[in-house]
Amino acid sequence: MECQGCRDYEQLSRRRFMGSALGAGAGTFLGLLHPEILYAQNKGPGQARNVILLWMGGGQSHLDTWDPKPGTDNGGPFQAIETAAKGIRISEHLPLIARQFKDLSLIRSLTSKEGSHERATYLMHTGYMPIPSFQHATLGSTAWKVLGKINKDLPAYVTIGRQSYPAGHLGAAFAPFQVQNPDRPAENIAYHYSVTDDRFRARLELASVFDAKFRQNHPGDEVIEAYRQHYLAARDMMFSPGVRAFDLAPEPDAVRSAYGLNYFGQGCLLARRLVQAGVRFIEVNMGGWDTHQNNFERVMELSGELDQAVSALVADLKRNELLGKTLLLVVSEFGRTPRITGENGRDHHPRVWSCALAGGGVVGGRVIGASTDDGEGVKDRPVSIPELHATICKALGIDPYTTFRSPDGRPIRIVQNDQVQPVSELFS
Amino acid sequence: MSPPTASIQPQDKSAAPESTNPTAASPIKPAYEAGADGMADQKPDAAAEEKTTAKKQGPVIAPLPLEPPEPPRVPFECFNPIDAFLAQVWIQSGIRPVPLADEALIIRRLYLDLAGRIPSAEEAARFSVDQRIKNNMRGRIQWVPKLVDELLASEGYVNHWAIYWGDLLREQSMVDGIEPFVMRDYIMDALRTNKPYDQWVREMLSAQGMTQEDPAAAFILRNKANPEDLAVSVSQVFMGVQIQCAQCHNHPFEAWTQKDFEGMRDFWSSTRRRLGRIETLEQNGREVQVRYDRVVSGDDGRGVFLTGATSPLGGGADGLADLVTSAKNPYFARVAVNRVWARLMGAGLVEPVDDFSAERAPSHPELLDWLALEFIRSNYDLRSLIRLICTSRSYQLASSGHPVGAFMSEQRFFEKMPLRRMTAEQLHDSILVLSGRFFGGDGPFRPAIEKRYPQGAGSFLATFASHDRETLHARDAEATIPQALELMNGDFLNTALRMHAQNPVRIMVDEKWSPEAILEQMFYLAYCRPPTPTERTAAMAYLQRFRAQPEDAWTDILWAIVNSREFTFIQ
Repeated sequence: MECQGCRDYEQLSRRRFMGSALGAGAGTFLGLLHPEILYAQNKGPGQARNVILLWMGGGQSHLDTWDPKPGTDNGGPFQAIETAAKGIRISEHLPLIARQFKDLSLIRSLTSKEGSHERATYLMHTGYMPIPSFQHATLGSTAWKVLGKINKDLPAYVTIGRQSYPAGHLGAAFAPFQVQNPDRPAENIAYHYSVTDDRFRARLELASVFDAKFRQNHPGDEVIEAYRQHYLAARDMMFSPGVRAFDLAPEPDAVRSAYGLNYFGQGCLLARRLVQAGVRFIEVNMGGWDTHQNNFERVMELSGELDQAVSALVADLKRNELLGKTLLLVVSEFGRTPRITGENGRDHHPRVWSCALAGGGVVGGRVIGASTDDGEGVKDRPVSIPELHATICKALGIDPYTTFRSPDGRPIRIVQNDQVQPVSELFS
Repeated sequence: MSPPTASIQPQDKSAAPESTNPTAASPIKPAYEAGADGMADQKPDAAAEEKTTAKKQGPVIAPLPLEPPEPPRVPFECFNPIDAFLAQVWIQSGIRPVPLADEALIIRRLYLDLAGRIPSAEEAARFSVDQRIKNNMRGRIQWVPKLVDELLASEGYVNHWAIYWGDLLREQSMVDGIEPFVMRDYIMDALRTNKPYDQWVREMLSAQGMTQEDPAAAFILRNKANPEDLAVSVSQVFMGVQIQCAQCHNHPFEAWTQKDFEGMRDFWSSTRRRLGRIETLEQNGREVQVRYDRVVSGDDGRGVFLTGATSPLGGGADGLADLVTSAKNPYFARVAVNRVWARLMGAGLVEPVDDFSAERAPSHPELLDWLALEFIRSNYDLRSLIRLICTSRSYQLASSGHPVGAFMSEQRFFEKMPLRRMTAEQLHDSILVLSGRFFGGDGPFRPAIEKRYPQGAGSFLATFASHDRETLHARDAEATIPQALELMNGDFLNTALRMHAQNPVRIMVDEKWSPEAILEQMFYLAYCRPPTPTERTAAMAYLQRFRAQPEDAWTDILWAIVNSREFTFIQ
């Protein structure tokens, strides 16, 4: 049994989050004008070209994964094991990842004040607290906007799983391409068998003639503009050789099973293919971490999937010499309460939690910050979500204080407060 | 492979929180009081305990007024009182709404909103040709109600709105323990007979037995007779109140407490799902055993209603049915009229439609109350409610043009009809109408209402965000690349548009219509307007270019018509 309510809430919210720009009267800032970059300085030579963000949706229990406290009141039944990096210990249920700690580092002192799934997810993706009147862009859209595409025919931002995020003030053109099921090649990516290449192109031309009047009658309508952008992107994709990247079929069985024959494992494999094909920012969703009940049983199960997929991904990226250029993050919207509930569960806990990082210039074998001995709070070096954003920006060589102008003229910075600094210890 | 997110699953009743555990279930202080630290600060709060014994719990909205608000007198030509309420705010805010939409677009809008598809050429012509001269305000007051009545009396209304109510009631075609499709049939029957809405809801909440005896039992069985699921569904669907987060813990950002949740849950404490009977059926030459469940409700429920009201029928399912559908329940009628309003007007008077709270003010509070009281007065007549909205001048406003004064406002004025993308089903069925397959279509070309729900990922309907019917949520309206790919390359559209015998183009070609006339007819059918000279020239050039394959060329022209945004949107 688990917090069904929260799950419903999470799903519902996510949908609202997605649809929020479309309600009547809301989000009229989209698509009216093109957003502009006002100024950017401090642009450093980032090492990372790509980002793979593994999303631990629901709130990953930090004490039962990256920050174990065995033997304490809150520690739970799991043991801690040594990793390849001396002195760093993680959960016994992540043995394969433990062996890769020469390449992985941890932040054990993430902290925020957001205990609701919806709002914390928004915060982690945008770096901002949600406000009703404005839709901030997520980091994936920002990276696309600032750095552009690597492969001009593929979207620069892909989400794998069911999550999707509007591009907010950056406009629909920078919204992620959503792959629902990694195990199936993206649908309808070639023209129908009843058509020839010649006719397909002629059809497109004719459709754009028929489309002109409607667009003229509804100038600046963001919904129509979003559709137009998606048509253009879809057409570009169709004719791109890179589109083969979406199909896992060419991967040998051994590789596929190494990642784990499950949704998340295959999503990680697809992420690696997309990095190779030149997609800049990929998010893979792994839900199920909202363990209000039966935390230990469920975290053990989830850890098995996570361990196999992440270890396979790190090894694969390394083998293909992509790890240096790819920043890999394993993050969640918040941690879980150290106190174990009557139902053997843990509740939402944003006061401290952990994330794992690798590649893209991140030095392995480091632990940034620490939680208190009872796992309740930050003991050392708190890291805020905007600081994590600044860190990802640093890895990518994006100035975190870059200012955009939204279509309604409002200046928006990637990281609002210029006192916020990246976690530099990760890089040197 | 398992999907990363799961559905509303029933809770194991035996594992419901035990209030004897002081740390697990004691009321907690909302985080915005306690220091905004999320769920971590669980402290017992004696004050919260006391509150629950007071006459109302949580932030209940204001009661409905005893008399309907008087429609204001406004210097504005109104078709019915809805317009007066809206016009008052327009005038106060210095807004001038856009003009009425073209007659042909109103016919299209009404067909899509009430029958879930575009009209066929004959259907559209019947109204537009005779009535063209009357397309002034006075004329419209006459012909729009006629068309509305005709559509509301049609099976199209039943089909289309059954999908809407199916989303809300999470109707699925195949559910263990329930006869296949019985819930959809029940919904369609309620719409066809125009069952008073309060009676419909009462039937569902107080149902007993198997669906064979009482199809209304499908609602409780769909929720597995699980008290937690039923508490969440009933509160959200019929009362627009979301208490689900209070199920496990007092949510820091919502005002309802765990006690409120438990109160709504306990109406179901004596409701059980029991084995009804087992039937042995033959399927594909094999014998299969099918189990049918039945609902058993005792009358010793211990429910406490959200508003604090009590029923002479007690604290069980019957008492809940009574309390929910009471005219004194401040939520029931308001939530229903607001849902129907939002469906037809593009946004609710209260938004989101299933999140009513004392803090969330309606855009037009008097209009909401007037509609709610009118709905009650009409004996909860859903058809009358829809008729009232659709025959208002406000419903008939254009979706283009510039209203004066409303620029960039967050407030909802309803001064212009927002463009709405067709739902998955509207698009599906409209493609069938355009290609001549709607009437008598079979196989993959059956109308949406005949399909099994939920539709699998990757199907046409699912790609355009048909509802999963698992959790309660609004449909996604966001444009996606897979939708563009589906309309360009998907098998459904590309096959539907081929020149089969019923395709209107094929029929017109056989009847020796000129290409220009065929094009004009198809433009009217798809867009309710003639082609522009540029469009005509481009289409004729296309036919010329591919003259060796005229049938393919016409299929391509239809493809281009559907793949223009104008087809996909309800103007």
